[in-house]
Amino acid sequence: MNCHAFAAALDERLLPELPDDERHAVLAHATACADCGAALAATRALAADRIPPLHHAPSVASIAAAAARRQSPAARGRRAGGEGAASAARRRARRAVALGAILGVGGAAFAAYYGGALWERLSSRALQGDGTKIAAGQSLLPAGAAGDSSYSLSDYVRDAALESQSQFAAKLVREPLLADGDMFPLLKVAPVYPPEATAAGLAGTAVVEFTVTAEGDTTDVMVIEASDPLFGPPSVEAARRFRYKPRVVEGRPVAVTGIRNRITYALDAEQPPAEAGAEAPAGRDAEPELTWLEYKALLAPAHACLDANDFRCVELALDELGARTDLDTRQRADLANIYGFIHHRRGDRQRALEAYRRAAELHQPENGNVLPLMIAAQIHYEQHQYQAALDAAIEYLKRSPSPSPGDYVFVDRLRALGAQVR
Amino acid sequence: MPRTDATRLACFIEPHLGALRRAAYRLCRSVADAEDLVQEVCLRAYEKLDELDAVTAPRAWLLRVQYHLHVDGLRRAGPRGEPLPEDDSHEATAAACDDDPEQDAEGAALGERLSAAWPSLTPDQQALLALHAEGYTLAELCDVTGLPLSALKARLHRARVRLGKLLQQQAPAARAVAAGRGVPR
Repeated sequence: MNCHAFAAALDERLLPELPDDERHAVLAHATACADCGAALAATRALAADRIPPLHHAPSVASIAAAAARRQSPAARGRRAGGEGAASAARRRARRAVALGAILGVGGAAFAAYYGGALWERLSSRALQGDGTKIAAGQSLLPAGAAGDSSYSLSDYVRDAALESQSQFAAKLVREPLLADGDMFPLLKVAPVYPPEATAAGLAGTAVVEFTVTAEGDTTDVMVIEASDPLFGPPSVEAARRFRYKPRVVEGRPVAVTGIRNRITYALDAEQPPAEAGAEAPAGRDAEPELTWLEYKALLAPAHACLDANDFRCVELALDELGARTDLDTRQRADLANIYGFIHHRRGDRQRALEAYRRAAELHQPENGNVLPLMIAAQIHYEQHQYQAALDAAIEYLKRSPSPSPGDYVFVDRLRALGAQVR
Repeated sequence: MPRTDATRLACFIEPHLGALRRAAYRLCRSVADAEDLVQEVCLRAYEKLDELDAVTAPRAWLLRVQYHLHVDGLRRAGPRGEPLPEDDSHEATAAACDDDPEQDAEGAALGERLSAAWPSLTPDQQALLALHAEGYTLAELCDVTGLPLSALKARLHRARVRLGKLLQQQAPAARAVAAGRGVPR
């Protein structure tokens, strides 16, 4: 959340419609930014400002009379400002009389309308501003934030996750169920070229057949034909990792059987890059361990790289930090969470999921961050892997100290899409 | 004055009179001044009677006239003195329709604070805040003020910040804002 997004929320009068968690994210910004805090105060004051009942307005005839009354000294200076009060009053009287003359018979209808139904329609439309109420003194900062004196990359990632979660929930509520449509591949993993085939200079093809489940996963993968038996196992292994947007019929995703895919093995093709083991291994004991504040201070270089939008630089800085032997489990979990954020931001969902999964594994109930689970659930959902999304969401709900209504909407949606609570 | 002119004018203004009056009240924060402003809008509409048939969006047209009258009027008037108490008879019944005296008192206090802060805003700021508070969308505000959207958003935000700070100055006991944290951009 930044000032721009905050102002947009006020501009569009979104605040009262937002789910609680998202509104809290917006309001948290207002507590941190003096200008936006003032803007929010002004919006609330204007929304609560009561307009006197204007339907008591006079008829055209009495407009003229009222204008004449305003020649009294008490009215002086009210609106005329630098203009002489008498001349202003004369001007008003002239205008009122002119108006009465102009309207003539039409003036009766004109006056009658003052008390008409239009008022009701307009008053129901008015005051749509921010009606949000927060208790005085209520902290809107995320739990645990108050104790830290610096705002590190770790905090930033957590806040971004909170914001993402709430935006996601809001979107979920608004968007309709899936539109009908055929499946299409979202992710096709390149197979590992068999070393024996490389050594033998062997190229060829393999055809695999599988079922695309309603979750978009592949199952029942089998080799239909292979130019060499060597190409069978890696083809199956790769096809198991394919991801599809499932076919949707009448708003519900359905499984599709008998999907075939031909995989070509050519020696001049580029080998798939090895999985980068960016995250540091956990569980290494070293001492003394870093304190949380020291750890956060060490995140500064990565934070600077992120500010510069240089993701490669962020990763290098994180790798350097992850290589240290004095990180405790909480710090490693946090680091994995940051990796997840960076990968996700770069659009690398698979690596993001791996990192978030790792963060969740390292989670410790007493001081851990359970949001990686929900972010992982969202990533699965984006890939139409509804069962995986539900599993992660349920795990999140089990561990989260304060699930929001949006989380349950998410779970309901996933169940409606065919995922089952296991 | 041919009767048809009166009818034409009434037909043009009537459906939007309530909206005009409400917006005018928010602009002027005084029933009497709002009445004056609406009268002036009506007169301007009469002066342009021949052009009214070609107006496709009467409410936006009327609000635009009202906006310019307000902004130009206040600019011409320059710095204003202390507002005097209202003396119009129809205002005496203004707030007589609420059952909750506590809410009445709160609402009245808020209204007074807004009224006290209002003259310190520029006419433009008053107009943007008033019309936005009235429920008009940014697109409608662009239409009324003639400002491009980006400029409108920036001005609206600045106006809110300014009004909020003026209100906060009036309320020294206002809740302290948590300081020292911000989301990096």
